[in-house]
Amino acid sequence: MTAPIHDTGIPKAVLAQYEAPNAPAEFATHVLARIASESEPHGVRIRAPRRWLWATLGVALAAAAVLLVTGIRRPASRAASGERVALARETVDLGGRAIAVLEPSTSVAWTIRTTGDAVIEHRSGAAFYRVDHGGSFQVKTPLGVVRVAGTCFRVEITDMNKQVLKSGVGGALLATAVVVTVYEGRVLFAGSTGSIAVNPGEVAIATPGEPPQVREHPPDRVPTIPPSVASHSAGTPAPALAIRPTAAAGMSNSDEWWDSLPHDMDWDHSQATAIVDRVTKRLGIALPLSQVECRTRCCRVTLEEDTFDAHATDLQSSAGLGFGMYESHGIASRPNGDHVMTVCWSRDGSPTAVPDRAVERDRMLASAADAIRACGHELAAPITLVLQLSIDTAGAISYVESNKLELGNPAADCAETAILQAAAFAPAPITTWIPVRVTIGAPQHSTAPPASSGH
Amino acid sequence: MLALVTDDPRDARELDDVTLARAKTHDAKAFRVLIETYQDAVFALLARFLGRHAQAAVIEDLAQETFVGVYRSLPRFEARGAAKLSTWILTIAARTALKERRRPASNARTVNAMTEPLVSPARTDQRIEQRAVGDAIARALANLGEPYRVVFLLREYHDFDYREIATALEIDLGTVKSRLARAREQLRTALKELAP
Repeated sequence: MTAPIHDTGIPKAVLAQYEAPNAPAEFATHVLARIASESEPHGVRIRAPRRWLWATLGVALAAAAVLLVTGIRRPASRAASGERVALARETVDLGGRAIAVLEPSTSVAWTIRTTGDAVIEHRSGAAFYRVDHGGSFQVKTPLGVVRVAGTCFRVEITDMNKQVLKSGVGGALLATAVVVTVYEGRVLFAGSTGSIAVNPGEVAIATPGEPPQVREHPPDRVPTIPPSVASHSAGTPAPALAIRPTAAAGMSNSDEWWDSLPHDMDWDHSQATAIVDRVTKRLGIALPLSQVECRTRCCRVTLEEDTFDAHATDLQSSAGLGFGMYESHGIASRPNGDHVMTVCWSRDGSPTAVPDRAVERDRMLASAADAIRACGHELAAPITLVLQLSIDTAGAISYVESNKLELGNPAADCAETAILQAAAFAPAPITTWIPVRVTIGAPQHSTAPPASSGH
Repeated sequence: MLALVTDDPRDARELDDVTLARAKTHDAKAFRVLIETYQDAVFALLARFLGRHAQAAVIEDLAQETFVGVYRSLPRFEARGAAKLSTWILTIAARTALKERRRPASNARTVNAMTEPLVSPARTDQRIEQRAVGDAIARALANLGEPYRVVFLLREYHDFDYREIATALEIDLGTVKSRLARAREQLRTALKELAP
């Protein structure tokens, strides 16, 4: 917002004559009422991790007496301390150190010290904790303390704690046991009479007077990547572009500049082919090779305006034709409306830190697949959740567009939560948008592009 | 009440840091202040984008959606450099409006004539003339494609710079310029037709 309207040729006073209504009285009240009417605590629900996620552990605590739900107080999302008693399943931000998904009737309190050390008092119920970078992280239960150990973990949050209890592993001990389930990473579970390390796929159970004991995760309950998603993400990977986008000296959208570039026939052909294959796989567009030109270390792709508009974000994030909007690539319009995207890549072996958002999206959906399936368990007919995730330069989700309100189905909300909680995006030079499309309640999940054609 | 473009929108009031910090923790009172600070700008953008035939209820509904989105995302809002909260909120409003218009017709909200006139019933000649100019601008904008219209509104009525528009709408800087040029040309043509 820098320049006033001086360059339009239309005086501001003239423009001002197109009047617009102000907000009606009580508009703010209407908004607050609408927010309050929605059951989910949105303020903390869609926060994504700032970096790669470190650890997930599920702590299922079944106390002999569930604490009464009293004194509910909404925690500040970044508060150094807080407490929460959940009436319905909800997600809370534990002072920026972790995300906890609380099952109904779960009571927790937390203190985050200035050093980043976090102490969680898990009083009752069940919760999943996803821990971010920082100091130590402890979850205190009546029967022991769970300490997160290790450094680099992948995150998966599912309803596995319920499944463990139902499977009988902890069912008999429901009234008196603490059950710790680890999905990724490693934790130490220290009871009053001993401690034990709990690894992925293991369940540790502590009972009064007994040290925690590790049991293997029930084989039929181990979270797995569904075949449909696995094949999408790993079975037929999109061809990697040769190298990462980077700035090109003197880069321009002009044909003169393009014509000045020398050819490197081998690289040109392989890179153009990779782009075609990638666009075909990721966007479902049959892109003729004739519409892709490569020279030396730059390529340009010609697309019809409608095609470009329909896939603008995916061209950037999934097809790899973006990153560095103002530095490494440009978009020009032809008189006939066609858009020409020009991208240049580094060939000097020092690629910029540009992640493959499509791969990250696949990984995210694979991680969330079980949870998404669970969300759609009771759906009579499939529904399609469509999200647009804005990923900031730190890799955090800064904004989410969703059609869940249009869908009006709790399963959509549930699936959105699962997806966002599984998100783990790497830092990138610029903000990127990631389209996500998931069918809930169907045998298979699909991802962007719409209809998954060509996949 | 009617919202007019201020002499210098860059001086428009922004939420103070303390209230913003409180609003980010979902303090209801602070968020109310936030809404009241930016609601008129959001209404103005949405109303001009949807056009004069948009129902007031539709505008309010989209404005509500905008602020619900703001509420959800506010904890992650971080002012960087010259970034302003108003820019961020209007970006959400613009995207909300575009998203609304992209809905299938079967799901689209009904858009009918407004139930309340925008102008005061006490019409002077000056007022009538002003209304005519406003109508001309409204018609010209309505005749523009939505991608052009939203670029024009963000630039001319809300003082986004080109890069902010490019970021908000996820389009290239060149596209911003070309769309803005086309929109301005159409406006000029429409206004020339008013000349006696």
